[in-house]
Formats: sequence, C-alpha cells, structure tokens
Amino acid sequence: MRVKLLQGVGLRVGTCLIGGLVLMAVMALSPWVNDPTLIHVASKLQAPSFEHWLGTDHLGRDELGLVMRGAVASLGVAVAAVGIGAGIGVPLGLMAAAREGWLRQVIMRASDFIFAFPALVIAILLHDTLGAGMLNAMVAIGIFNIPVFARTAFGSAQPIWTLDFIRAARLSGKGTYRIAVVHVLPLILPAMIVQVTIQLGLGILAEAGLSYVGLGVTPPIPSWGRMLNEAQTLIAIAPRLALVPGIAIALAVFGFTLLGDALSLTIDPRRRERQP
Amino acid sequence: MLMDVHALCLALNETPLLKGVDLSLKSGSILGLVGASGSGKSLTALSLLVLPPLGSKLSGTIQLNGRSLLTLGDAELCGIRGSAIGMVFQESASSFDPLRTVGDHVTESIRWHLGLGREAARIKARQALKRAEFPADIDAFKRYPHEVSGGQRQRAMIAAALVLSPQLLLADEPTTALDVTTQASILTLFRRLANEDKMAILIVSHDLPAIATIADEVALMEKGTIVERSATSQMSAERTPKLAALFASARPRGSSAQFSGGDAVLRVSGICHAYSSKPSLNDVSFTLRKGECLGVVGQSGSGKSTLARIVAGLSKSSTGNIEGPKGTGRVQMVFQDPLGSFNPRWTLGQSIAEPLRTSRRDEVENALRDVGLDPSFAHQYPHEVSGGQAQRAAIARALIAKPDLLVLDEAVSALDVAVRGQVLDLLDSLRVRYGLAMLFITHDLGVARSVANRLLVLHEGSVVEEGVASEVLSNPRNPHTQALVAASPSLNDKFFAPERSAD
Amino acid sequence: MAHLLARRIAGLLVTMAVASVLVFAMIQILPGDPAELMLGADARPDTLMVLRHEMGLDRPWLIQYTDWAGGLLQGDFGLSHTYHVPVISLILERLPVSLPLAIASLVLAMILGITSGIIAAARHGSWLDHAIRLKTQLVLALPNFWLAMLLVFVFAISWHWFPAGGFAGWNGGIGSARALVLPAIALALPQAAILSRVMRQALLETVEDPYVLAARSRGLSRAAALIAHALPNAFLPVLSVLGLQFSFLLAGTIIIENVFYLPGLGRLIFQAVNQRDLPVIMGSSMVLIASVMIVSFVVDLIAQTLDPRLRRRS
Repeated sequence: MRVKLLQGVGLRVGTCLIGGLVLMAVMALSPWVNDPTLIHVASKLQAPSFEHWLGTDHLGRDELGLVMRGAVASLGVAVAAVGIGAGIGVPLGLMAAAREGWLRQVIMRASDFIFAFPALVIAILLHDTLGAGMLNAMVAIGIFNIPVFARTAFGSAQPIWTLDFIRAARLSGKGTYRIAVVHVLPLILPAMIVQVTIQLGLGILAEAGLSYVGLGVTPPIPSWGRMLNEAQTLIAIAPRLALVPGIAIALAVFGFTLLGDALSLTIDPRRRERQP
Repeated sequence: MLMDVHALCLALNETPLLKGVDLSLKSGSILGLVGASGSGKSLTALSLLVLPPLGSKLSGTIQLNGRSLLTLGDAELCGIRGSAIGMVFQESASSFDPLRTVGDHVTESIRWHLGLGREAARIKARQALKRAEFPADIDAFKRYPHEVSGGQRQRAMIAAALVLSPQLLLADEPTTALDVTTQASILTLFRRLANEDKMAILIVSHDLPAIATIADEVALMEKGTIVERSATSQMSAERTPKLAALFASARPRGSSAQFSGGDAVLRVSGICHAYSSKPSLNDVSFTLRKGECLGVVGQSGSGKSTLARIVAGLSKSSTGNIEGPKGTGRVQMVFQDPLGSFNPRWTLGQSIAEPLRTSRRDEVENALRDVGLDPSFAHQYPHEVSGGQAQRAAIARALIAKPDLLVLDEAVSALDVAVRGQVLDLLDSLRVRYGLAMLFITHDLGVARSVANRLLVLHEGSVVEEGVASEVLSNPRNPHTQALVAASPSLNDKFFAPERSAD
Repeated sequence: MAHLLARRIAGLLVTMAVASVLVFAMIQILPGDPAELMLGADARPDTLMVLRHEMGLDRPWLIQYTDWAGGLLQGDFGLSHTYHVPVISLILERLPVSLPLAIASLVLAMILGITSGIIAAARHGSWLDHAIRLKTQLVLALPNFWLAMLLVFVFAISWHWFPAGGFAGWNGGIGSARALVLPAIALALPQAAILSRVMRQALLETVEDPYVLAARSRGLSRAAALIAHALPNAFLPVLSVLGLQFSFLLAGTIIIENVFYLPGLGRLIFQAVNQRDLPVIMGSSMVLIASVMIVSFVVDLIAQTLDPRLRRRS
C-alpha cells in the first residue's frame, strides 16, 4: 500500500538524518576534524577547497568544522531541554490526571500560564538571571518544555483513568501511585516518545533562535544560530555562509519531524491514513 | 413489493463483506434483521441506501418500485435518500452534529429536498417531531444534542427520517442504547408507522426478542448472507433451527438451585449518595447472604451502578452504613465492557494474577480452568480473544483470590445474546460451588430472572420493591416494577413455544 | 451569561497580576546594577548611591513593586534608563509597526493555512495532499529568521522587489507598507504550516464522524455534508490552536523585527535587554503578555459562541 511505503520511507529518511546528526556531533569532538575555532583572518572567505570542504568564514575558520561543532551545541541543548521538560513535565501530568482536585487545577493553570508567556520573553528574563551560555539556553527551553510534556501526559493519561481495569487494580489493593506507575505510565509511553522527538526538533530550532539573538551559547563555542547571525551582513558577498548553517538546522529538524510522524503512525493505528 | 434485493454483494479491497443477500420489503410490514456482530446486518442497511463504506464496491440489484438503484447517478440517489428512503442510526450523541440544534437536523432534509424557507420548514419539522412523539414541551429548535436525553434524540432522528414521508424506513440498532421502557415505546412507534402510514420498515438488531414483538418477518444473517428467514407468526424449530436456537438462548431460564439461607455477608443500611447536589441514592438498605445472588434492576439513572461502586468500595456514600467483607480483595467486581476491563498491554495471565500478592502459574491456570478456558489463554492479549472469552477471563481474575462478595455491573450486557446464556450458567455454577455472594446489576429483566435468587428494584435512587426474583417478576406490586416487566421483551414468552398455531 | 463573562474577565486580571509579579521578580534577581551600567563600573560609590536613590532602587522590593504596578494601571510605565523618556511613549511609538505586522501575518497565516489544509484533506491521498504535507513539514523545519534571510536574499537583494529592511514610517501611505511585506510573509509561513496541519487532520477526522453519514442518509451530497457539518466542527481545534500560536507569533516578531531592522516593539525589547534598560524590559514584556492573554481570552469567547457544549446554562 502506498501509504505504508511512505511511512517506511519517512522512518528511514528520518533515522538517517538523525543518525547523520549524531555522527557529526561525535566526530566533531574527535581530533580528526579541523579545529573550527582557529581564527586565521588571512584565509577569510575562501571558497570551498580540498583543505576546507565548505570554505572558510569571515574570520578564516573552517566552515565545515563550524557546522559539525554546531551540531554538538544543538543536540546538547535540545537533549538537555527535553530531559528537563519530560523529567518534570511527565510526572506532573501523570499526577494531574490521577486525581481531580486542587493539584490538577494548579498544574493545569501553571501550564497555561507558561504557555501564555511568549517563549522568548522567558528566555530574555532568564538571560538576565543566568546570563548567556549553554546553561541558560537549556534551562529556558527546558522550562518551556515542562508544560508541553505535562499537557501531553495529562491528555494521554486522563482517558486511561476512566477505564475499568484501573478499578480492577484498585480492588486488588493497589494505591493511586502504584497504579500510575504500573499501569498508566507504560500505556502513555508511546505518545511520550513521539512528543520527545517533536520537542527535540523544536529544541534545535529554539536553540538556533536563541543563539541568533545572542542569548544562546557564547563564543567561541560554535552554534548554528550565531553563525547565521554573523552571515547576515555578508549575505551579498558570501551567501554560502548563510545557506550552510540554515540547511543544517532544517535537515536536523526535518529528520526529527519525520521520525516523530512515522512513530506516531505506528503507535496509534487510528491515525493511520484512510483510503481516499 | 416495495423493494426487491437480489444477490447484493459488497467487497472492500478484495474482502467480501456481503455475499449475496436477497430480501424483499413490503409496504406496511416490518422485517427484523438479526445476527451476531460482524454478520453484515448494518452493512446491508447502509447498502440499501447505496452508502457503502468508502472504497468498497456494491454489486447485485436493488429495486425500489421498479427502479434499479445501483444504476442511478449520484444526484438521483441524493434525491431518493431522505425522501423515499429514510434511515435511523443507533443512538449515540455522535449521530448528531453537536453544533446544530436538534430541530435543525429535522429541517435539514426539508430544506435540502424541498428548498423551503426557514419558517415553512420548521412547521413541517414540528409535525414530524409530533409524529415521532418527541416531547411537546421541549423546543427542539432551542436545544442542542447534548442537552436532551437519549430517547429524545432518537425520536428526533426518527422525525428527521420520516419528515418527507418516505416509503421505506431503515433502522440500524435503533433502541440498543436505550432504556427498556423507552425501547418498548419506540418499537411501538415503529409498529404504528407501519400500520398507519403503510411504511415498509427494516430493523437491524442483535436483540431478537425485542424485534420479534413487532416484526412481521425475521431474517438471520451470518457471515454476509441471510441463512434463515421466517414470518414471526409461523416460527418453527424445524424450518429455522438457528433462529429457534437464538430464541432459546435468549430465553430466561429458571433461576438455579434454590438458595437456602447462609450467613449474612453484606449488610447495607440507609445508603444515600448525591452527585453534585443531585441525589442518586436514597436510603437504600438490604442484606446479602453467603451463596445468594441478589439482582439489582432498574432503568438507567436509577442508581444501580453507583450502588455497585459503593458496595465495592470504589466510591464513598454520603451517609449510611455498610458492613461487608473486610480486607483488600475480599470484594471483587466484573465490569460491563470486557475489553476495557483489561490493560491492553498485559497478557490475560498477568491481569488475572493481579489480585494475588505473589502470582503462581498454577493458580492462574486453575482460575482459567474454573471459568471454562484453556490454560493457554494466559498468554493471549485481550484484543485477541472474543467478548465472551474476555468476560470469562474477567471472572477468573475476580475469583482468583477467593473473594467473599462478587459485584457484577451489567456483566453480560455487552455480549452477544448467544454467549450470554453460557456466561450466566458459568456464574451460577461458580456461585453454588464456592458459596459466593453475588450482587448482579442489570437493566435486563430476562437476565435478572435467569441468574438472581432475590431481586431489588431501584427507581430514581430508591428501593421500590424487593423479594424473591420469580415472584417479583410474575406479580410485580409496585407500578414502576410493573412498567419494567411489561416493557421487557425477554420476559415475554409469546414466541418461545416450539410448535405454534397461526394466530 | 454576563455574570460568566465578568468572572472570566476577573480571571484574566488575576492572571495579569500574577504575571506582573513574576516579571518584576525575575528582573530583580538579576546580577548587575542599572546605576552602575549607566555611570560605568568605576564611578564613585557615592555618586552611584545618589543615582540609585533617584531611580528609587534602594527602596524595599514591595514598595518598588506596588509603585510600578500602580503606575502600570495608570499607563505610567516609568522612564527608560537609556532614553530618559517615558516608556509608554516608546511603546506607543513602536506599536504602529508591530501591530499591523502581527495582524497582517495572522491574517495571511490563516488564509494560507486554512485553505491549504482544506484542500489537502479534500484531495486526501492525492499528490496534491502529499505535496502540501511535505511543504508544511519543510517550512516548519526552518528557523523563521533563516526563512526571513532567504526571503531578503531572493526578493530584496537579487530581485529588488521589496526593501531589505528598515521602515520609514507611514508617511508614504500604502506604499510604505511594502517594507512590511517580507517580514509579514516570514512570520506567517510557519504559522500557516501549523494551521494547515491541524486543519487537515481535523477535517479528516470529522469527515468520518457519524453525523456526517447521517446527513448523507438524509440526501445531502458528499460535498454538502462536508461543508455543512464536517467543516464547522473541524474549525474548533483549529481555533484553539490559533489561540495558542499567538504567543509564538509574538516571539517571532521579536526575531523578525531584528532581521529586518524594523523599529517595532520586538526590536525595542531586544535592544533594552542589551542595554539593561529595566523599565523598558518590564513594560514591554507586560504589553506582550497582556496581548497574548487578551487574544486567548477572545479566542475562548469565540469558541464558546460557536460550540454550544462549552456554554454553561444555569
């Protein structure tokens, strides 16, 4: 069936892209790659050559090396942010679903509240408390991930609590906490995994945005977002510098999106495409 | 002959769903189409409207007044649907557009087919609503689907179907989700429509006794074809053995071995419960003894399920006293939906072992054998087994820790009629064997008669009658009980005699 | 119904109040002293103290907060540390840029997103459907500032259709709106992609709902049933997404205004962050937060008008 084929293609392409991303990050940390932080103004703005596969930037740094190192920042921040978001958000969502009452109200209101704050405002305000840098980016994006995961966990968990086997578990003597861990959590795990892939993609975008405005990782750590910022004024002279990091970001996010879509189709057969 | 159907076939992606259905429908007469789930009954009804599922192919002939429907184009078919043929679906709020008022659904076909203005259409709609016995004191044009009851919605749907005076009315499980008394009155409405308006009516249902009360003819479907048919006034076990068997399994058996006293397991007194200021239980008291099965019956909304949950300890009552089995796991429950009773990712074996502190494989296997299932079922997943098998597994789970009290909340209502009898027999034998006390909640008086020793009748939260089951059902004293008994088709022995003389 | 409305407005005000406390608190924890920034790190301590006293920074936090909050309610957002003009006037100056930009991109996003979503759902499974979905996913994978840069590169630098940045004010009449075209597109595209996805998914689901089949059984053609029943119901989830997305839209304007050098609210915040201009940061943050909350409030109201299930009868 044509759709199943597309699903398989999506899964494979997505996995390849992500695999490539991780590979780049790992290799970037190895000694084989040119150190991109080496500034060598004399060789600035060179076109791609054998020595510099993607050329050099306005400070003579190796563009390819910069891109590969940028993968480290992007992945690192995205993973940490998802870790914070899911680690705190999922238990909160589970708790909110388990019982009606004030706890649920508080958690849901707080989530709505954080959503209402434009994410960048949070980052800006955090920047003032934490300063720029990788930590700031991780925390800012992580804080914004918490309500996302709380909401998704709540939405997935809530219908489960109304099912009869939860009542049967209670009659067997299990308390709310045990039921949440033993029954509910494994059942919402697939949806959570899908959300993780989505948020990883969004996290990379967010990190790029923060670095672009100067709130992300600080120099000399390379970051795709900051590279785009620096390339902006040079766009007429060396469009390559503006294209390469952007394409890197796009491919990385696209890979996660494909992965997430393919996973969600396999998990929830109701969402599979119906025939025309 | 209003409609003639020959060799109707429906195939979806090479899989045949209907394999040659023949039937004919006469003006003024009602045909009941029965069969197990998956037999193709609903698909047949939809096919008569030429509305098969997306991507499937219909073949064969459908003649309506001599016109062959399967050769008509889209526009002509749209002209026929809703005006010459009307359809009523199984009640569920989802058959109504939640954004439109109930009345709007009735005016929709008027305006579509006749192009009338709003006021003119509403006049016609109100007439149809009246014909369908929609309550006159409710303004259908100001109410939305979620604001009216199931029975009222169903009447509105019937009104929408007959507003243009169709010659043929198709009804797919029209009363399955309704109360017994509402079901009886809607079935009577269908009979009136057939008699007075000379409509041909096709009713699809899995509930044979209910249909048999009003149908002129019944047909049994199995795996996509009609295997037996008979006029209801001339049913005989020889000519239509499967239909007869279906009747027999729906027939209330006498309740089992007389129950002869035992220690009280459960004493309930003065239970009151209110849910957001609406009282749902009002001073309910009763005693349940070891080895006894107490049936709790009543319409939906009478508080039966609330009572079940309170007795099981899942909810707290506002006031009142319960003296029951102490300790975790002493009270167990079997629920209505066999599939929802199990964690879909656990094997049946894991679920059955849940009430035990330490699970041992032999205990699970014994429990399975007790309920008539092979021990290999322990490795199956809930979605891999049939409804009846899943419910047996639910019983196994409930009994594995040897509880003192078993609460069953509509435990057989979701099962096919043919399977119900087997499960009820199983429960009976388990009760006698282990001396279980059982609290059996059901809205179906026939089921209650088969399984209960004593009966408690609830109406709007209060106990209105109590006594030995067979006596309460044969001589109900309270008017509410009387209404319930009168409306229950499965108590009606009219069709159960194997030899029948023409009436 | 009016009583319900009053309750919700009260809720809105309470949330705003809490937001203001949070904003204030976060700013207060910052390391670094505005007075020092203004005078330089090696200013004399007593001069610093005098300046701090002038700026009111040595008063207890509670007093500072109530002063500021009280001022907010009266429209007084304090004085900008950098420009020494009332913050409110700075904000009002920038609104004529940011507001039209936000509205234009919202409208554009809705038009693009909803129509493409409907088309994709109606032609489900066809190449058009797949093409739209692919485009949607691609657009969402791009950082919006990069998209903006590409737009600038193609349309401004290479083809000279639109200016590459800057905004000369509205004096030029409609013509001056040309400077807002590229920014509006850059903002609108990601929003349109999300709306398209949600619209498509929602329509695919509602088309399968039983009431659509019921309408067909009454004689409605496939298209009529879709338009009369599936479509209105499909709009509900789209509406709620719209409300949520507004805050992302505003976040986007901050970045886009920077890419295009537009003198709007976003740029103001951004510069204020770099200059540690507290009153401006706090004031504009409150304006942004307030607009998000007002928008989601309005969206909720609209949803209630459309969906009878959300209305509560007494």
